[in-house]
Amino acid sequence: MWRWRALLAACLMMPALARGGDDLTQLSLQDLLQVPVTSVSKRKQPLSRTAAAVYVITQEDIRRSVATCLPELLRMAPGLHVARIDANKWAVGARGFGGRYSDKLLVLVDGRSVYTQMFSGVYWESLDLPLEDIDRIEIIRGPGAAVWGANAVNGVINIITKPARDTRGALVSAQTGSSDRAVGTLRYGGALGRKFAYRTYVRGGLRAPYSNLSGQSAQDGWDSLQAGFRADGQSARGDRYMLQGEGYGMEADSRTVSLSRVKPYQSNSLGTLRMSGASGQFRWERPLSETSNLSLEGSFSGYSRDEGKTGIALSDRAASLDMQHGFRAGNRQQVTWGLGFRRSLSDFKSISVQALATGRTLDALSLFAEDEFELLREKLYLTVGAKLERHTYTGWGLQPRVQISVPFHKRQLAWMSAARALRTPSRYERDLLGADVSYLGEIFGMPAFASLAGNPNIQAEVVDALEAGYRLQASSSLSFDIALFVNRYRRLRVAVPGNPRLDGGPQGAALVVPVSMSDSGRGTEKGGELAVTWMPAPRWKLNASYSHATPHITGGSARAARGSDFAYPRNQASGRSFLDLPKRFSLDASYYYVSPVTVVLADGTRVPLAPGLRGDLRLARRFGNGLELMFCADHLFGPARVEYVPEAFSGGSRIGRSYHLRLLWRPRD
Amino acid sequence: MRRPHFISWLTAAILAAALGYGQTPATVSEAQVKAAFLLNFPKFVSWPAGNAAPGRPFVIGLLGQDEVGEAVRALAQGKKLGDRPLVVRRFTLVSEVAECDLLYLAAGESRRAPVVRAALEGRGVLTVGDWASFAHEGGMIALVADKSRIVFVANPKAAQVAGLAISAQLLSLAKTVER
Repeated sequence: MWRWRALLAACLMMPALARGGDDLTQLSLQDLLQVPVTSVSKRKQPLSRTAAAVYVITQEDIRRSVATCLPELLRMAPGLHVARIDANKWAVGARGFGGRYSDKLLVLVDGRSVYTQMFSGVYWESLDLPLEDIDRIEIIRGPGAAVWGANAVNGVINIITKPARDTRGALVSAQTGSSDRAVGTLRYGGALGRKFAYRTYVRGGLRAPYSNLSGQSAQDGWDSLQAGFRADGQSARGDRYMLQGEGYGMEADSRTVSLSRVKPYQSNSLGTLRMSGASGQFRWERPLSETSNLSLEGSFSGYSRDEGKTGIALSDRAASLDMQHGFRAGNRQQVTWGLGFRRSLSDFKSISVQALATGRTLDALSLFAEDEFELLREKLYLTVGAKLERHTYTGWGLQPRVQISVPFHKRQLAWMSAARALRTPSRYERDLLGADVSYLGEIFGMPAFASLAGNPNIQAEVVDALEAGYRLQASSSLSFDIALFVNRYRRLRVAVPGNPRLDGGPQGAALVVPVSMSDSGRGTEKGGELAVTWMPAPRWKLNASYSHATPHITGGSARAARGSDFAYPRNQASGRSFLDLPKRFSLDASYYYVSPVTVVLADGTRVPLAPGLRGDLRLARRFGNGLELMFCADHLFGPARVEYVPEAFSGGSRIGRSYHLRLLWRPRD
Repeated sequence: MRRPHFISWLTAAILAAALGYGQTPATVSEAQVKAAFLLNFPKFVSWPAGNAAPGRPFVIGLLGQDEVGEAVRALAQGKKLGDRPLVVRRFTLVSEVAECDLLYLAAGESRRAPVVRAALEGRGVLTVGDWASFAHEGGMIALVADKSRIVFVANPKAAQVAGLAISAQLLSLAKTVER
């Protein structure tokens, strides 16, 4: 009888449903109780069932952090190392490999890669997004290549901005302080009709310099201006589309070390670094049925960068097109596959160094597929996937991955995975014709220089990674997440010094030690990360994390060539506290520890960096009418310290205490 | 005689399949049904008199990101509850949750539920949670997937403490938390 009623209800409702989901609200509660639904076991359980080492920086984390720019936010993620080189440069690395030209990390903004082919890394200073627009940042440690593609060797950072319909109305953010003299964002969002929303923003900043080791200004202040928009829409049949674009420009004081074949051979000078760029992307998603959907994504980006006194000018343009299709196959399988194409054109000009072979076009074509099998209903999942990619430099490469995840007792999850990932060589590893990179001293009245050259035969780096993890939701207020890994690297890029030769250039004779790049490095690395969240009281939340990584690399003159790549701390720990106080006050504190490291520069000099300790504090009060005032102090305790010594061109600044006052106003609509 | 029959049946079946193929499937997603419930509940709940000044919008707050929230947004667009326009807002901070009439908590928010409850004490906000034990843990209405249907569990006592009254009609359809 009950069944018949259900069937009848379903039949009666069918015409209503066929007209579109809107009519569901017209049904009575009784009818709603009878509506059959397609998937009651949830397919999308974001973090709790992911078989990978994932950490998510949420909107709340972002809002309650003292960070005023994107790379600073990443300090809170375990398994990453963030070092501020000077006011306008950062080195962000993952799992044992860091550096200004950190090359084992893939960074995406809404799915668009912001990785530059020039040095296989990211210019963090060009990513000055309004933090208020960021929905979340997902950090996937370990190789993500089977899905994300080449270069996701030790991690993927996925920055996801809010959809336009979540940012309707106006927003004003303004801050001033000792380090950020004046930084502000103006944003306005609105809707046209029921299914289309947009926002536009403009953000600018004037930032003060830090100091150097002798206590004087490090001359690294910078100014930036950025503007952009995003639009999201939905069609009558459920297609969703998104369009966004932005343009930016920045100008920074930049200290550089210039080398010359005539006396004084090596000199420090202050120049102006300029960078400007633009990017745009669109995404279109169509639900083909309840259990399958198709998406198409395209993007372009370009920048030009003038490195000031070094006389180096770079420009890079890239365009990509990706298609992805996901569907359920039978009751127990979820299949996702896709195709992608990316073309990048880069150009390099220099008046001082012997430069790269100029303009070059690089193509990457890829195909990926992934299948998640539910081997035992809600108890055992097996995921098998691979990405096949063809790159102009290295030809075809296969990047497979196998994962097993076992959720048990609803609150626990154990997972294991084995994967291989590749990193395609950068332009400078392949095409650098030879550039003096450091002054070694004077021999027989002649200057001696180390000269670095690329190698057109360098192949892709390979990592084979084995990972295991365990997640426990011990109670409603306590959770643990632990991940362990063993990585084996092959064909790592290292430098091999050759025999010194006499070079009689037009500017004068010099003794040159040629250093060429080779892919003969090998290595292993072990490590792990632990993250704990605890809510001791309803209005008090604590986070703690610990990360460990010990890489062991052999082959070539590995240390010398990779310089600060090895400036990666073995141990890092952090703690954060979020406390809601009465009368709409909140008090947040964080603490970071980084173990000491020794940087070996290209000329063999060893530079020890002191352990890093820092404490940050933030006091905020919310008022009516959407106004919030915050006072932030970073490095409140712990000494000012050089966090990083860069590989080339300039020294690091002492990063120390700074204060700022911030106003955030979001008038109610 | 049997053969033509068979062929006509087959043709009819193929035709039916072909016609039916392009149409919306008879089932709808779990999220859409849950969203429809959410928009239906206010009709069966009475709020304290002070909460509903005439013309003031009825605010549905979403805590946590999931498909139900997305569906609520889509369904609520341009709709009214009586003469009050429906407004959907997403919250990230617990300190914001008091600024709504109905608060929906996504399944991923179960950890923050106790804090939310503390923040809403005596505020007259109807709480709906997307996990089975929500109503047992002091929430007002829990949405629960039961085989291929969505049912709900109500905790009238929790509502009463907040100054809300859940109608007998809604309670008759709900599984009720024992007192």
